[in-house]
Amino acid sequence: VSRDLRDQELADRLEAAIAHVAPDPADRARSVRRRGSIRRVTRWSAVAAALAVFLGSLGWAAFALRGSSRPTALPAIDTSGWRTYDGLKPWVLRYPPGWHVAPYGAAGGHCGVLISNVDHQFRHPVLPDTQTTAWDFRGLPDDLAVIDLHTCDLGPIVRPTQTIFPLSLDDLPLVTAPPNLRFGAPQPFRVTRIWPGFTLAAWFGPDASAHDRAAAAAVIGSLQVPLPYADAALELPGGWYGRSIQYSHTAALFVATKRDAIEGVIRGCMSGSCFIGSVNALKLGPADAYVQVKGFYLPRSSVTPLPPIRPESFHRSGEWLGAPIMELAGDPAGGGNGHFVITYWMGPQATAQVRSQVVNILSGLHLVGEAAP
Amino acid sequence: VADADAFDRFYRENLARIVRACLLVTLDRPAAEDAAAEAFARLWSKWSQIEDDDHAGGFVFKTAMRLCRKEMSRRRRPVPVDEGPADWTDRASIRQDVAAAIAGLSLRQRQAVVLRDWAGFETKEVARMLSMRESTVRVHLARARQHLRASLGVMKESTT
Repeated sequence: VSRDLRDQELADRLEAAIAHVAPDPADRARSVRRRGSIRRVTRWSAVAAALAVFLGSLGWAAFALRGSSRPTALPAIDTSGWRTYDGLKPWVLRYPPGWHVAPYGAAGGHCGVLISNVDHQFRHPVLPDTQTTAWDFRGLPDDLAVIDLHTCDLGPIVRPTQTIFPLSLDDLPLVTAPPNLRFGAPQPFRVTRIWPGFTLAAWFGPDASAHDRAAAAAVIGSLQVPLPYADAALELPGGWYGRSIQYSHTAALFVATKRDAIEGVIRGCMSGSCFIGSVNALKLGPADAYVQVKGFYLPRSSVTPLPPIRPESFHRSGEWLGAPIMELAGDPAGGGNGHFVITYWMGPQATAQVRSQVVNILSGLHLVGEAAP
Repeated sequence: VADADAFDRFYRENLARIVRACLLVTLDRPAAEDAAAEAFARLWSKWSQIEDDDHAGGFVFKTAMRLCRKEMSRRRRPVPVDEGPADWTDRASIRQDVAAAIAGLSLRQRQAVVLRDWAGFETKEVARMLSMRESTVRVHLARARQHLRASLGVMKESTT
């Protein structure tokens, strides 16, 4: 007897033992199917629920992470009709009607300014044993929005971040003050150091409206020092492309040349490795030309017009493609508080038309310079 | 409707087979019928993914065996023959000598011998259904056969 036969006999014995078991399938198929359908729905519901939980968790995590560094999307703000404040040299900012500007600091010169949506005289808390430069927010409404720009003191110890103009509220790091230094101030708040010595902070109450947050963002974005020229006042010849930027709170840059010789998106940059727009000489041909202006200004200076710029005032500072790079540097107002460097270059094969265009651009710069306060 | 008809046909043709397989493993008819019903319900819940009757058969057997194992694990150990209720054989709906012989097997041994010798699946199919290596199935199978032959007096080896 082979193993197969013995296994078959075993199988037969098992079969014989249960052969009489014959469950009646009648009327059960439908209930089984119903059970299966419920199971299928349950399974898909569980999958959907798990997916929803997963996506929800993902979204929450993203929101939490984003919330730690970036606010939610803000509505568009119409800044027409906004007022200008230039009382804290060298800054100029714009703020919406209905908001309040409160400069502060020692007599004879302000060293800071508070811009807020509440009409309130901000004070420092009175402490028994010490003094603090923190502001007292106690008793203020929950919908407040406050911006503080100052150079009076060190302020909160924050790591300076790369300062790019126009400034963005989103780029201001979120920090939380120690409990003993909050004095009712909403936490966390945004603050950064604007080199070299200005601190910019923003507080929003828990009920601050999206409109007021957007307005505050626009106020911060409006911060600039006066440019040495105005784009609108500068008419460039056909085929020329000009960019005017402020790349620090004490410096500005103007470039005019053919479009593809100005690299990328020119953004102002205070420190770090961000790109400061300038002429890309490698993209200049022998028939091209450029004009570049850099202006450097010191804080707390007034601004006065410069005399017209004449090409014969320039001196040779370098060479490109065999043609000289001409430069004019100076302190136009003679007060030692301002400095500018104007550079122009005309390729060796530049036509007479291009050369006359350069002269016209130089004479039309309408530069303003710095004077002693 | 076509799907429901096909499922109903498959259900009618295979219900008894699945219940019997579960009965041989659990030795408990209500538990066997519950496991079979649940296995078919799960089959219906995935009916759209089933390719043919062989696929359905493999799925429902595998599911039923898993449910039986779950039921047995819940009970921790099978009801011993000599400790069972008076109507144990009626409840089991299985011949008492066979039930007693099966009761001496482990769960894995029962499943291996039922799927391989009674249901006729190949060893590798049994291994896949029980999530075991084939070698492990063979070991379980050998021990189960040895025990059942001894218990049921199946003809002695190598008499030809």
